[in-house]
Amino acid sequence: MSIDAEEFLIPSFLNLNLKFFSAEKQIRKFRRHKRPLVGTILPLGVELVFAAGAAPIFPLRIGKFEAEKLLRGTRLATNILGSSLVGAGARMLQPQAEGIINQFLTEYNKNLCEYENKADEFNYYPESCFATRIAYGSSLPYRDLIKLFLAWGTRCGWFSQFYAALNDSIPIAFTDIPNSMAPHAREFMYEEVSQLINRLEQLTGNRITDESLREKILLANDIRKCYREIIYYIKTPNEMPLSPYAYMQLIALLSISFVDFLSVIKYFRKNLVKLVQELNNRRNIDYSGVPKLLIVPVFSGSEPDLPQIIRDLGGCLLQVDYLSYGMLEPIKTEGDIIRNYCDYLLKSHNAWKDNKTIVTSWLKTAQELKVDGIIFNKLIGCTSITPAYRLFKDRVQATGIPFIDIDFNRIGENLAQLKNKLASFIELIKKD
Amino acid sequence: MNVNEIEALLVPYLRKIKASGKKLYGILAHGLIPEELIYAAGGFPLRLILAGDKNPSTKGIEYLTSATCSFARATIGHFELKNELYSELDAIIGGNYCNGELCAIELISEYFNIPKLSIVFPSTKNEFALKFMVAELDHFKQDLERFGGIQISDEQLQNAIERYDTERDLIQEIVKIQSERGPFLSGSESLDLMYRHFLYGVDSSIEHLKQVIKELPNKQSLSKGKKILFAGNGVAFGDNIIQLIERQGLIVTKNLTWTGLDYYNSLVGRNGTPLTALARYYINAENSGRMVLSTDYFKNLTRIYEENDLDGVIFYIIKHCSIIPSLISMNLKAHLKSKEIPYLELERDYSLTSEAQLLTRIQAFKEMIE
Repeated sequence: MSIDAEEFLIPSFLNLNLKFFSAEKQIRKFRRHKRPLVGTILPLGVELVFAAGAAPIFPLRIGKFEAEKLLRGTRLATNILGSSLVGAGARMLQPQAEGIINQFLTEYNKNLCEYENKADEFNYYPESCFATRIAYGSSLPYRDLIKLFLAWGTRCGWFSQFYAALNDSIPIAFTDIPNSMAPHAREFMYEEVSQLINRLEQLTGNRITDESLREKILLANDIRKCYREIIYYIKTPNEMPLSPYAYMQLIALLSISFVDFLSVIKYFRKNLVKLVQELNNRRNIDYSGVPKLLIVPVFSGSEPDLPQIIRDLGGCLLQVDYLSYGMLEPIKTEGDIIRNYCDYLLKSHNAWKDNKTIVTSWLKTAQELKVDGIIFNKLIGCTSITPAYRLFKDRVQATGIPFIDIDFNRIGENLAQLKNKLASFIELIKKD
Repeated sequence: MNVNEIEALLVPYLRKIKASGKKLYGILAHGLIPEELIYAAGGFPLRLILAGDKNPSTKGIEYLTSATCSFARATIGHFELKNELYSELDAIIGGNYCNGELCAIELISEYFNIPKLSIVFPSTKNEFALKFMVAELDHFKQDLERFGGIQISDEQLQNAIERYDTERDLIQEIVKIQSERGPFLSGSESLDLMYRHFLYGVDSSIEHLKQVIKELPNKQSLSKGKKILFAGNGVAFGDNIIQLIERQGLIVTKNLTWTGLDYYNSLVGRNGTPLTALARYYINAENSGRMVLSTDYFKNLTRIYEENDLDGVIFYIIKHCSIIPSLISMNLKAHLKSKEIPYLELERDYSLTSEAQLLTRIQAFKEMIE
């Protein structure tokens, strides 16, 4: 499948990619401006961090990337040649664009491999899930830079273990999210969030006012809206704005960037809004004959080569866990803003409070996005969501959506087998 | 107690209880579900502690993945294999403190048509968490009332608490006698005392404990053999890990898991309203194994080790348990190493691990501490 250079030269798209790879530069800038870094591995509480004047950072974004140089070069070229490149200009930048997209995925994956190895070096428990292993491997090297880490009490035992282990090196702010929506759970959540606010205020010396929080939530809501809109393009597959590989790359970029809003919420929002405006004017690509595959769950990690594999097989992979778990729903901005935020946290957690709920959400997403097939990602070591497989298997059959299960433990394991399995699955879908 | 007793004695015993109009509630591991509330509701709490055999654990893979704790898998496996003991349940009760349990309860309810009641545990132990826990227990109480078509008065609940505290008092008395004049009971015999509670209930257990206390002075002290502190995962009924250890000439004199006498080292008492007292007790049940543990776990373990002049620590891990093994084992190893306390970690998957492997490691540990 060829890559259309012009897609990657959309300025807002380029900017987002570039910012994604600039974490080290951003960190230097935050240090100069004395903005404390707050680590996070879940897209929860980020608005509070911004409202306190601190900078959230998803440690997986930190690293040295060759792609950054390429991106800078490309942005420079587009600035010189103009953003509406045509003819020879675009062709000239074609190799550059291919480089960017390939580098984005391969370099990011290379980083993941490094963090996985680092977790082993740090003797992190090898049987824990992939997500917490790389979270540990990516966070610990930056223990001197990250001043506080957001930790959440969820139904996932591995997350709790990760936070507890991390606490030996980086102070954590542990906030429990009760597995209930009962009135007493809402009260408890309010107390927990109030404690988190105090902790952030102590860290930065700034007060989190209702207005400062409301302002950040409004920005975040716009981001959520744009993210949803981009996912929902797939509902009308004959009017897609990007080629499948570029679209997959965008979805991958968003799923990672959504965790810390690229550490710059205004910039992220501004470029995402612009990107959606651009994409809305480009609804001219037909995905007929391109199988659309939803992968669930990806929350705790999946084989990073999957998008390339699916691209090579002529399909389009959708990783949209945040949509299924209600994390892309807007937060209410009228009334008591802290309580609204608490309700958002509770709702997001309750979307995966048990496996019946989670299976219902996945199937709803699959039907809503009209996918052609579902890949169930059986993450070895995941003791909370992967056990939903039995329920999933029994319920997906009633929907008539073809499905397949794949195993994932470590990056690059059994890749050949995985490719064969997916090739047969896609063949089957194409025949249908 | 042995497995044969289940069919011959226990099943008829439970049928009799049901015939008297009591509801039978199945509860899983960890010792965190407040049985006092079930007792006060006129129900019978039955611990679903059968595991250890290969077959049920393997059967459970049809429901849970092979990377889920083999205890949870075995529990579902026993339902799938239509174990008579589990066939009489009116409802099943579970919490959120352990993924294995959370998933197992959900699937048991779904695939074996058993109503499910849930309790949400907070991860933390601060004052707000306690307040939440009180409300959550009240919520659970209402669920029991609705399910059983009854009302639970404060007096009934207080009586239930006192009944369970009586049992805890007796357990503590045994622990004291064992420490001061014993040990008279081996680890396996002590475990049997807990199994009686889990399977026959608090009333039967109290009578049995009284009898044991009366007979203890007539028993011969087990003076030979190195004394072991056993911690980590609880020991399911059918899991012979304690026997394996003791067959090598070691004595498990302290068992800190929820299947050990030492777990019941405090009372609920009259600490505020009955629900508050219960909440305070269960929120602090540290050794149960739950999502977030405080460092008290290590301090407590070391204190007990030092106070009882023990010879080594065996830390038991049920493979794929996401709570007990990782952090605790990593930190415990470092902690005990710094104090030069001999330590052995044993891991078992009921469907895979062979006894021979475990025996070799226990033998080597014994030689080391001797």
